[in-house]
Amino acid sequence: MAEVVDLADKIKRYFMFTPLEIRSLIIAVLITAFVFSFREWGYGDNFSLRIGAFNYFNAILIVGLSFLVHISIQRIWSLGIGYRQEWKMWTFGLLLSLIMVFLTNGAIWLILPGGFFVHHLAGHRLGWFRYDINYWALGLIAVTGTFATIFFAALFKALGVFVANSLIEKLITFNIAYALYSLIPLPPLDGSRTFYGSRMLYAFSTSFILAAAILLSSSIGVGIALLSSFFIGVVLWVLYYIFFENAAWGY
Amino acid sequence: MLRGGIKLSELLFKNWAEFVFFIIMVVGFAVSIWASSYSAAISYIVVFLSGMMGGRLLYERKHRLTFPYAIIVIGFLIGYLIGSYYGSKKVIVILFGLGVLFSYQLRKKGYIRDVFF
Repeated sequence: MAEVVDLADKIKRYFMFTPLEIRSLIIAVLITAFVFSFREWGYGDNFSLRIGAFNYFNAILIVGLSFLVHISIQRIWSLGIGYRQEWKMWTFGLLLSLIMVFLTNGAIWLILPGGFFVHHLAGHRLGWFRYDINYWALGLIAVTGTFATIFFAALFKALGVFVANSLIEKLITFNIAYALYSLIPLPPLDGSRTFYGSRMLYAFSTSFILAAAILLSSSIGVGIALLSSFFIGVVLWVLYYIFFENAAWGY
Repeated sequence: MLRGGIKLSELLFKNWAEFVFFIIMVVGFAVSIWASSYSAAISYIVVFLSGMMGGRLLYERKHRLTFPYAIIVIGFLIGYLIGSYYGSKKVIVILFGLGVLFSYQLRKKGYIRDVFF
Protein backbone atom coordinates (compact mmCIF):
# COMPACT_ATOMS: atom_id res chain seq x y z
CA MET A 1 0.00 0.00 0.00
CA ALA A 2 2.89 2.33 0.85
CA GLU A 3 4.24 1.98 -2.72
CA VAL A 4 0.89 3.03 -4.19
CA VAL A 5 0.65 6.08 -1.90
CA ASP A 6 4.26 6.96 -2.76
CA LEU A 7 3.61 6.64 -6.49
CA ALA A 8 0.39 8.71 -6.21
CA ASP A 9 2.37 11.43 -4.43
CA LYS A 10 5.15 11.35 -7.05
CA ILE A 11 2.56 11.61 -9.84
CA LYS A 12 0.99 14.59 -8.09
CA ARG A 13 4.36 16.31 -7.77
CA TYR A 14 6.24 15.45 -10.96
CA PHE A 15 3.78 14.29 -13.63
CA MET A 16 3.01 17.77 -15.04
CA PHE A 17 4.31 18.58 -18.53
CA THR A 18 6.64 21.58 -18.76
CA PRO A 19 5.70 24.49 -21.10
CA LEU A 20 8.47 23.39 -23.50
CA GLU A 21 7.10 19.84 -23.55
CA ILE A 22 3.57 21.09 -24.22
CA ARG A 23 4.80 23.29 -27.08
CA SER A 24 6.85 20.43 -28.54
CA LEU A 25 3.94 18.01 -28.20
CA ILE A 26 1.57 20.42 -29.96
CA ILE A 27 4.02 20.77 -32.89
CA ALA A 28 4.58 16.98 -33.07
CA VAL A 29 0.83 16.26 -32.93
CA LEU A 30 0.00 18.85 -35.62
CA ILE A 31 2.68 17.54 -38.01
CA THR A 32 1.96 13.84 -37.41
CA ALA A 33 -1.80 14.42 -37.76
CA PHE A 34 -1.16 16.20 -41.07
CA VAL A 35 0.93 13.24 -42.26
CA PHE A 36 -1.73 10.77 -41.07
CA SER A 37 -4.60 12.61 -42.80
CA PHE A 38 -2.68 13.56 -45.96
CA ARG A 39 -4.80 11.42 -48.30
CA GLU A 40 -8.10 12.53 -46.80
CA TRP A 41 -8.37 16.07 -48.15
CA GLY A 42 -11.38 15.43 -50.38
CA TYR A 43 -12.94 12.67 -52.47
CA GLY A 44 -10.50 10.92 -54.81
CA ASP A 45 -8.59 13.60 -56.72
CA ASN A 46 -11.06 16.39 -55.85
CA PHE A 47 -9.72 18.66 -53.12
CA SER A 48 -12.18 19.76 -50.42
CA LEU A 49 -11.12 22.07 -47.60
CA ARG A 50 -14.20 21.24 -45.50
CA ILE A 51 -13.66 17.47 -45.64
CA GLY A 52 -9.91 17.90 -45.24
CA ALA A 53 -10.25 20.12 -42.17
CA PHE A 54 -12.73 17.67 -40.61
CA ASN A 55 -10.40 14.71 -41.18
CA TYR A 56 -7.41 16.72 -39.98
CA PHE A 57 -9.28 17.57 -36.77
CA ASN A 58 -10.10 13.87 -36.26
CA ALA A 59 -6.45 12.98 -36.91
CA ILE A 60 -5.33 15.56 -34.31
CA LEU A 61 -7.60 13.91 -31.73
CA ILE A 62 -6.31 10.42 -32.58
CA VAL A 63 -2.63 11.38 -32.64
CA GLY A 64 -2.89 13.59 -29.54
CA LEU A 65 -4.59 10.86 -27.51
CA SER A 66 -2.16 8.18 -28.69
CA PHE A 67 0.92 10.31 -27.90
CA LEU A 68 -0.49 11.18 -24.46
CA VAL A 69 -1.14 7.52 -23.60
CA HIS A 70 2.35 6.51 -24.80
CA ILE A 71 4.20 9.25 -22.93
CA SER A 72 2.01 9.14 -19.81
CA ILE A 73 2.58 5.43 -19.23
CA GLN A 74 6.33 5.92 -19.69
CA ARG A 75 6.22 8.83 -17.26
CA ILE A 76 4.27 6.93 -14.61
CA TRP A 77 6.66 3.97 -14.89
CA SER A 78 9.69 6.22 -14.64
CA LEU A 79 8.27 7.94 -11.54
CA GLY A 80 7.63 4.50 -10.05
CA ILE A 81 11.33 3.71 -10.30
CA GLY A 82 12.53 7.11 -9.14
CA TYR A 83 13.16 9.07 -12.34
CA ARG A 84 11.35 12.01 -13.95
CA GLN A 85 10.90 11.58 -17.67
CA GLU A 86 11.22 14.52 -20.07
CA TRP A 87 9.95 14.26 -23.62
CA LYS A 88 11.62 16.13 -26.48
CA MET A 89 10.52 16.33 -30.06
CA TRP A 90 12.80 15.27 -32.90
CA THR A 91 12.60 17.94 -35.60
CA PHE A 92 14.66 15.87 -38.01
CA GLY A 93 12.18 12.97 -37.79
CA LEU A 94 9.18 15.27 -38.12
CA LEU A 95 10.64 17.04 -41.17
CA LEU A 96 11.58 13.69 -42.70
CA SER A 97 8.02 12.43 -42.23
CA LEU A 98 6.69 15.61 -43.92
CA ILE A 99 9.09 15.21 -46.85
CA MET A 100 8.23 11.52 -47.25
CA VAL A 101 4.51 12.17 -47.22
CA PHE A 102 4.88 14.76 -50.00
CA LEU A 103 7.21 12.51 -52.00
CA THR A 104 4.98 9.44 -51.78
CA ASN A 105 1.70 11.36 -52.05
CA GLY A 106 0.67 10.11 -48.61
CA ALA A 107 1.40 6.42 -49.25
CA ILE A 108 4.12 6.21 -46.59
CA TRP A 109 3.62 7.94 -43.28
CA LEU A 110 6.55 7.95 -40.90
CA ILE A 111 5.79 8.44 -37.21
CA LEU A 112 9.01 9.79 -35.70
CA PRO A 113 7.86 12.36 -33.14
CA GLY A 114 10.70 12.33 -30.60
CA GLY A 115 12.30 10.67 -27.66
CA PHE A 116 12.73 11.02 -23.93
CA PHE A 117 15.36 11.64 -21.33
CA VAL A 118 15.20 11.00 -17.61
CA HIS A 119 16.16 13.10 -14.63
CA HIS A 120 17.43 11.40 -11.52
CA LEU A 121 15.21 12.02 -8.47
CA ALA A 122 17.92 11.54 -5.86
CA GLY A 123 15.66 11.11 -2.83
CA HIS A 124 13.31 8.73 -4.60
CA ARG A 125 16.14 6.48 -5.81
CA LEU A 126 17.48 5.83 -2.32
CA GLY A 127 17.65 2.12 -1.62
CA TRP A 128 17.58 1.10 -5.28
CA PHE A 129 20.23 -1.27 -6.56
CA ARG A 130 21.99 0.70 -9.35
CA TYR A 131 21.28 4.09 -7.74
CA ASP A 132 22.17 6.20 -10.80
CA ILE A 133 20.57 6.43 -14.23
CA ASN A 134 21.25 3.19 -16.07
CA TYR A 135 20.59 1.68 -19.50
CA TRP A 136 18.38 -1.15 -18.21
CA ALA A 137 15.99 1.29 -16.50
CA LEU A 138 15.88 3.46 -19.64
CA GLY A 139 15.10 0.37 -21.74
CA LEU A 140 12.26 -0.62 -19.43
CA ILE A 141 10.77 2.89 -19.44
CA ALA A 142 10.92 2.97 -23.25
CA VAL A 143 9.31 -0.41 -23.72
CA THR A 144 6.36 0.43 -21.43
CA GLY A 145 5.33 3.16 -23.90
CA THR A 146 5.42 0.75 -26.84
CA PHE A 147 3.42 -1.87 -24.92
CA ALA A 148 0.94 0.80 -23.80
CA THR A 149 0.42 1.82 -27.43
CA ILE A 150 -0.26 -1.74 -28.62
CA PHE A 151 -2.58 -2.43 -25.64
CA PHE A 152 -4.38 0.84 -26.38
CA ALA A 153 -4.98 -0.41 -29.94
CA ALA A 154 -6.17 -3.77 -28.53
CA LEU A 155 -8.56 -2.00 -26.13
CA PHE A 156 -10.18 -0.08 -28.97
CA LYS A 157 -10.27 -3.18 -31.14
CA ALA A 158 -12.23 -4.87 -28.32
CA LEU A 159 -14.51 -1.83 -28.05
CA GLY A 160 -14.99 -1.94 -31.82
CA VAL A 161 -17.03 -5.13 -31.39
CA PHE A 162 -19.74 -3.04 -29.68
CA VAL A 163 -19.27 0.31 -31.43
CA ALA A 164 -18.38 0.23 -35.13
CA ASN A 165 -16.82 3.56 -36.06
CA SER A 166 -14.32 4.71 -38.69
CA LEU A 167 -12.61 6.90 -36.08
CA ILE A 168 -11.93 3.83 -33.93
CA GLU A 169 -10.60 1.98 -36.97
CA LYS A 170 -8.20 4.85 -37.68
CA LEU A 171 -7.10 4.96 -34.04
CA ILE A 172 -6.30 1.22 -34.11
CA THR A 173 -4.35 1.57 -37.37
CA PHE A 174 -2.42 4.58 -36.10
CA ASN A 175 -1.50 2.94 -32.78
CA ILE A 176 -0.31 -0.26 -34.45
CA ALA A 177 1.88 1.78 -36.80
CA TYR A 178 3.13 3.96 -33.93
CA ALA A 179 4.08 0.87 -31.90
CA LEU A 180 5.99 -0.53 -34.88
CA TYR A 181 7.84 2.74 -35.52
CA SER A 182 8.71 2.95 -31.81
CA LEU A 183 10.62 -0.32 -32.18
CA ILE A 184 13.15 1.09 -34.64
CA PRO A 185 16.51 1.12 -32.82
CA LEU A 186 17.38 4.59 -34.04
CA PRO A 187 18.12 7.31 -31.48
CA PRO A 188 16.08 9.07 -30.07
CA LEU A 189 13.23 6.61 -30.72
CA ASP A 190 12.17 4.24 -27.93
CA GLY A 191 13.55 1.21 -29.75
CA SER A 192 17.11 2.51 -29.34
CA ARG A 193 16.69 2.83 -25.55
CA THR A 194 15.34 -0.71 -25.34
CA PHE A 195 18.04 -2.08 -27.65
CA TYR A 196 20.89 -0.52 -25.67
CA GLY A 197 19.14 -1.37 -22.37
CA SER A 198 18.91 -5.07 -23.03
CA ARG A 199 19.09 -7.04 -26.28
CA MET A 200 16.99 -9.80 -24.71
CA LEU A 201 14.25 -7.31 -23.79
CA TYR A 202 14.44 -5.88 -27.31
CA ALA A 203 14.15 -9.38 -28.83
CA PHE A 204 11.05 -10.15 -26.76
CA SER A 205 9.34 -6.77 -27.23
CA THR A 206 10.00 -6.73 -30.99
CA SER A 207 8.66 -10.27 -31.47
CA PHE A 208 5.63 -9.56 -29.30
CA ILE A 209 4.77 -6.22 -30.91
CA LEU A 210 5.29 -7.51 -34.48
CA ALA A 211 3.07 -10.53 -33.81
CA ALA A 212 0.46 -8.38 -32.06
CA ALA A 213 0.49 -5.87 -34.94
CA ILE A 214 -0.15 -8.60 -37.50
CA LEU A 215 -2.78 -10.42 -35.43
CA LEU A 216 -4.62 -7.26 -34.37
CA SER A 217 -4.82 -6.22 -38.04
CA SER A 218 -6.50 -9.54 -38.86
CA SER A 219 -10.06 -10.52 -37.97
CA ILE A 220 -9.31 -12.81 -35.00
CA GLY A 221 -10.41 -11.99 -31.44
CA VAL A 222 -8.40 -9.55 -29.33
CA GLY A 223 -7.78 -11.97 -26.45
CA ILE A 224 -6.53 -14.71 -28.74
CA ALA A 225 -4.41 -12.21 -30.67
CA LEU A 226 -2.69 -10.93 -27.50
CA LEU A 227 -2.21 -14.39 -26.03
CA SER A 228 -0.80 -15.76 -29.31
CA SER A 229 1.50 -12.74 -29.59
CA PHE A 230 2.79 -13.38 -26.08
CA PHE A 231 3.60 -17.01 -26.90
CA ILE A 232 5.19 -16.06 -30.23
CA GLY A 233 7.24 -13.45 -28.35
CA VAL A 234 8.41 -15.98 -25.76
CA VAL A 235 9.30 -18.60 -28.40
CA LEU A 236 11.29 -16.12 -30.52
CA TRP A 237 12.90 -14.71 -27.39
CA VAL A 238 14.15 -18.19 -26.39
CA LEU A 239 15.28 -18.92 -29.96
CA TYR A 240 17.17 -15.62 -30.04
CA TYR A 241 18.90 -16.56 -26.78
CA ILE A 242 19.84 -20.04 -27.99
CA PHE A 243 21.06 -19.08 -31.46
CA PHE A 244 22.61 -15.67 -30.85
CA GLU A 245 22.94 -14.37 -27.31
CA ASN A 246 24.25 -17.61 -25.84
CA ALA A 247 26.88 -17.86 -28.58
CA ALA A 248 27.78 -14.16 -28.28
CA TRP A 249 28.50 -14.48 -24.54
CA GLY A 250 30.68 -17.52 -25.25
CA TYR A 251 33.52 -15.33 -26.52
CA MET B 1 45.18 -0.93 -49.35
CA LEU B 2 45.02 1.61 -52.19
CA ARG B 3 47.72 2.72 -54.63
CA GLY B 4 50.52 4.63 -52.81
CA GLY B 5 50.17 2.57 -49.62
CA ILE B 6 47.14 4.46 -48.28
CA LYS B 7 44.45 2.50 -46.46
CA LEU B 8 40.84 3.02 -47.57
CA SER B 9 39.77 3.65 -43.96
CA GLU B 10 42.47 6.34 -43.61
CA LEU B 11 41.32 7.97 -46.85
CA LEU B 12 37.71 7.98 -45.67
CA PHE B 13 38.71 9.35 -42.26
CA LYS B 14 40.74 12.21 -43.74
CA ASN B 15 38.27 13.11 -46.48
CA TRP B 16 34.91 12.29 -44.85
CA ALA B 17 33.40 15.66 -45.71
CA GLU B 18 34.00 15.17 -49.45
CA PHE B 19 32.54 11.66 -49.38
CA VAL B 20 29.46 12.76 -47.43
CA PHE B 21 29.16 15.80 -49.73
CA PHE B 22 29.03 13.47 -52.73
CA ILE B 23 26.54 11.04 -51.14
CA ILE B 24 24.25 13.88 -50.02
CA MET B 25 24.47 15.43 -53.49
CA VAL B 26 23.26 12.13 -54.98
CA VAL B 27 20.48 12.00 -52.36
CA GLY B 28 19.50 15.59 -53.26
CA PHE B 29 19.44 14.68 -56.95
CA ALA B 30 17.22 11.61 -56.31
CA VAL B 31 14.84 13.52 -54.03
CA SER B 32 14.59 16.31 -56.59
CA ILE B 33 13.75 13.93 -59.45
CA TRP B 34 11.14 12.27 -57.23
CA ALA B 35 9.61 15.57 -56.06
CA SER B 36 9.54 17.14 -59.53
CA SER B 37 7.71 14.12 -60.93
CA TYR B 38 4.56 15.47 -59.17
CA SER B 39 4.71 19.24 -59.68
CA ALA B 40 6.85 22.32 -59.14
CA ALA B 41 4.85 23.17 -56.00
CA ILE B 42 5.75 19.85 -54.33
CA SER B 43 9.36 20.42 -55.36
CA TYR B 44 9.31 23.85 -53.66
CA ILE B 45 7.74 22.46 -50.46
CA VAL B 46 10.29 19.63 -50.29
CA VAL B 47 13.27 21.98 -50.82
CA PHE B 48 11.98 24.32 -48.09
CA LEU B 49 11.63 21.39 -45.65
CA SER B 50 15.08 20.13 -46.63
CA GLY B 51 16.44 23.62 -45.94
CA MET B 52 14.88 23.44 -42.47
CA MET B 53 16.76 20.17 -41.89
CA GLY B 54 19.97 21.88 -43.00
CA GLY B 55 19.28 24.76 -40.60
CA ARG B 56 18.94 22.31 -37.74
CA LEU B 57 22.25 20.70 -38.64
CA LEU B 58 24.05 24.05 -38.86
CA TYR B 59 22.57 25.21 -35.53
CA GLU B 60 23.70 21.99 -33.88
CA ARG B 61 27.25 22.72 -35.06
CA LYS B 62 27.08 26.41 -34.08
CA HIS B 63 30.03 26.57 -31.71
CA ARG B 64 31.97 23.69 -33.26
CA LEU B 65 33.41 22.83 -36.64
CA THR B 66 30.85 24.25 -39.10
CA PHE B 67 32.52 24.48 -42.51
CA PRO B 68 32.33 20.77 -43.61
CA TYR B 69 28.67 20.72 -42.59
CA ALA B 70 27.94 23.88 -44.57
CA ILE B 71 29.61 22.24 -47.58
CA ILE B 72 27.44 19.13 -47.09
CA VAL B 73 24.26 21.24 -46.90
CA ILE B 74 25.30 23.05 -50.09
CA GLY B 75 25.96 19.63 -51.67
CA PHE B 76 22.32 18.72 -51.14
CA LEU B 77 21.23 21.96 -52.80
CA ILE B 78 23.53 21.36 -55.80
CA GLY B 79 22.15 17.83 -56.24
CA TYR B 80 18.62 19.16 -55.91
CA LEU B 81 19.23 21.86 -58.52
CA ILE B 82 20.69 19.33 -60.98
CA GLY B 83 17.67 17.05 -60.55
CA SER B 84 14.90 19.65 -60.77
CA TYR B 85 13.37 19.87 -64.21
CA TYR B 86 10.14 21.66 -63.19
CA GLY B 87 10.12 25.04 -61.52
CA SER B 88 12.56 27.91 -61.31
CA LYS B 89 16.07 27.21 -60.04
CA LYS B 90 16.19 30.71 -58.49
CA VAL B 91 13.05 29.99 -56.43
CA ILE B 92 14.56 26.68 -55.29
CA VAL B 93 17.74 28.42 -54.05
CA ILE B 94 15.72 31.14 -52.31
CA LEU B 95 13.36 28.66 -50.64
CA PHE B 96 16.25 26.49 -49.49
CA GLY B 97 18.00 29.53 -48.00
CA LEU B 98 14.77 30.65 -46.33
CA GLY B 99 14.28 27.16 -44.88
CA VAL B 100 17.80 27.19 -43.41
CA LEU B 101 17.35 30.69 -41.95
CA PHE B 102 13.85 29.99 -40.61
CA SER B 103 14.89 26.78 -38.85
CA TYR B 104 18.11 28.34 -37.51
CA GLN B 105 16.32 31.40 -36.14
CA LEU B 106 13.53 29.32 -34.53
CA ARG B 107 16.21 27.53 -32.54
CA LYS B 108 18.33 30.60 -31.87
CA LYS B 109 15.34 32.50 -30.43
CA GLY B 110 14.40 29.45 -28.34
CA TYR B 111 10.95 28.87 -29.88
CA ILE B 112 11.75 25.20 -30.47
CA ARG B 113 14.26 22.92 -28.86
CA ASP B 114 14.77 19.29 -29.73
CA VAL B 115 16.99 16.31 -29.17
CA PHE B 116 20.65 16.53 -30.14
CA PHE B 117 23.22 13.79 -29.94
